[in-house]
Amino acid sequence: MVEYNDLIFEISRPGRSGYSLPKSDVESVDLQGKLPKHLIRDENEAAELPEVSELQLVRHYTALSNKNHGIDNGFYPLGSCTMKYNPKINEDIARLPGFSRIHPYQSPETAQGALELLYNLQEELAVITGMDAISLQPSAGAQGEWTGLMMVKAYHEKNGENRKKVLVPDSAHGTNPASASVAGFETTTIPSDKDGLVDLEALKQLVNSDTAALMLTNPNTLGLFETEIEEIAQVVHEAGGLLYYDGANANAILGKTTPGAMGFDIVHLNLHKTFTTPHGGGGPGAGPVGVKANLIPYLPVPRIEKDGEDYVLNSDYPLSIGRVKGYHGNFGILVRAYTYIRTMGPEGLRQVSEGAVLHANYLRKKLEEHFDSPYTQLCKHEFVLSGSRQKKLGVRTLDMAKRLLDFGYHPPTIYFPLNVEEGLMIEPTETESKETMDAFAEAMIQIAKEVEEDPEMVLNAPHTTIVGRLDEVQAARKPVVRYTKEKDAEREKETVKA
Amino acid sequence: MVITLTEPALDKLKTTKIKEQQYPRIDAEVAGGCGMSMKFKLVFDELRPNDSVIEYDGIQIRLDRFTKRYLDEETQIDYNVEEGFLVGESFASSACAIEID
Repeated sequence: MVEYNDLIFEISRPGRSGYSLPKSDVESVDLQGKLPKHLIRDENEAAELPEVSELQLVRHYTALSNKNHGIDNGFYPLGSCTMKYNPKINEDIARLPGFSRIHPYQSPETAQGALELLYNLQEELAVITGMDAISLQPSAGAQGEWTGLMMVKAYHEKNGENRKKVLVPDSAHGTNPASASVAGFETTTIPSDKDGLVDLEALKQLVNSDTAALMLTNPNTLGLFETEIEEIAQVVHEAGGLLYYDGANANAILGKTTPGAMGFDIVHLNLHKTFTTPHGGGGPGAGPVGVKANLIPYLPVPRIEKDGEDYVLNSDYPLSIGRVKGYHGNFGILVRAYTYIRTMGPEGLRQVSEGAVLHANYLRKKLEEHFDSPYTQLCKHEFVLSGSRQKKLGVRTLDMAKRLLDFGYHPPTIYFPLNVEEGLMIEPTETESKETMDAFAEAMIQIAKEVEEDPEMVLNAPHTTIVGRLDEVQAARKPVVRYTKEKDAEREKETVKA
Repeated sequence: MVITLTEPALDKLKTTKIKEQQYPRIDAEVAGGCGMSMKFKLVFDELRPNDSVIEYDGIQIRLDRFTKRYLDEETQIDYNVEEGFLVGESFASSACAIEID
């Protein structure tokens, strides 16, 4: 059986093609002398495009697509990423002609149904987050963070203040300090205490009149709920700062509590995490932002509002930070998220967080004896193990992650958060069965045993993938991102030599 | 694999009091998230089963299999008072990787 593992360039044969055109009835013209020289391509510099038949093309890309790992073909416990199942009904609804065949330049009067959906989604997300208003414009979580921080800046400037500091805990997502920096703030790191939570005393020392905001995920990246959240909010608010909620971990609190109830002023949600819109592959995503009433004037415009029975676009907000995305966000993604919310209903959404927390704790208890567990208290939707026990035996977390590929699992998030040595951050999500979690736990336990009894098996993993352990140093330092025959021949030579 | 120590690094290592059962080791420290970055450090700790031992001017430096996989074939260890030991070149797998301070 022929396996289509070769590059498409390697199956190329000169002169083969996937199409045939009738002979041109227009006489060909020699362009030399008719066009400026720099516009005429030298034949020797023509792009070396692959020459394949239509069937080869179809087989090649179908085989390639089957090599992809996604939630539809395997367990994907990537911590903090909430890789849960995306119900197919979302796709059916998003493809309805009434949603898929409208144009963003249509006048609002002719797109009332679409605007109604967007307005309703705003309302639903406001209830879910405990906020007073929502903007659907930001196209991903990090853009949501940046949008929120630009509103923080506008709010303080309106109050005649030029606050420069954004506080982030040491377990924060990397996007938090990055977004703060892009928005023109300096970041200050708040250490975690021995229980993995925000060190309240350290926070009190670091909060001052220059504090613009504290960015927090709750539950945090260790999967632990910040039990002192009300006091944290009070400390920040008393200093005149705002509290920003990173919704990356909203799957853990859905229907149980809200960022608004915890004292947050601004929220972003990752619809591709909590609300089952497609995830990964570079988007499109959606990162709606919600605010409390005092920040509504700063929301992006145009805002989608209801005027009597009509849905209208309102840009009459002079303090607004302006538009942050073309049109009204990634509309098709918003349709999917709305479908999910409406099909689940309030009780269904509550079951999501209950299931996510139950599954994480089930898996945590199954694995804690085999790996070090820096934090042993009840977790929320995810938990973090440490591979430090295995490190002493000469096997590292990355080696174990590679070995998991042999079992057909996407590895957990590794080496993050940074405050756990050799960390493995595991988020099973509510959509996995007990059998899948049991099988994953068995694989993890087997790997832990192999580290002790047959470390070579782990150190040389993966064994069952199309390519083995990749040379990541070479890939990082000398990346080859374009195929040429010369480079391929050079590579072949080096492989034979090795 | 060749490891060389600069004069200050050699002097410092020879004068450092190392606890019993501990040995100088080059160890890869990894930061993850969206991508991966790696930095190499000189630490003093216990033996690991698959350690390689590389000698330079009478000093034995250990490294585990993982670290050896990622460390450059030729690596220099330097030392200064402000930054301590400086080992080889760090690298990141993508622009999204979190850099270790």
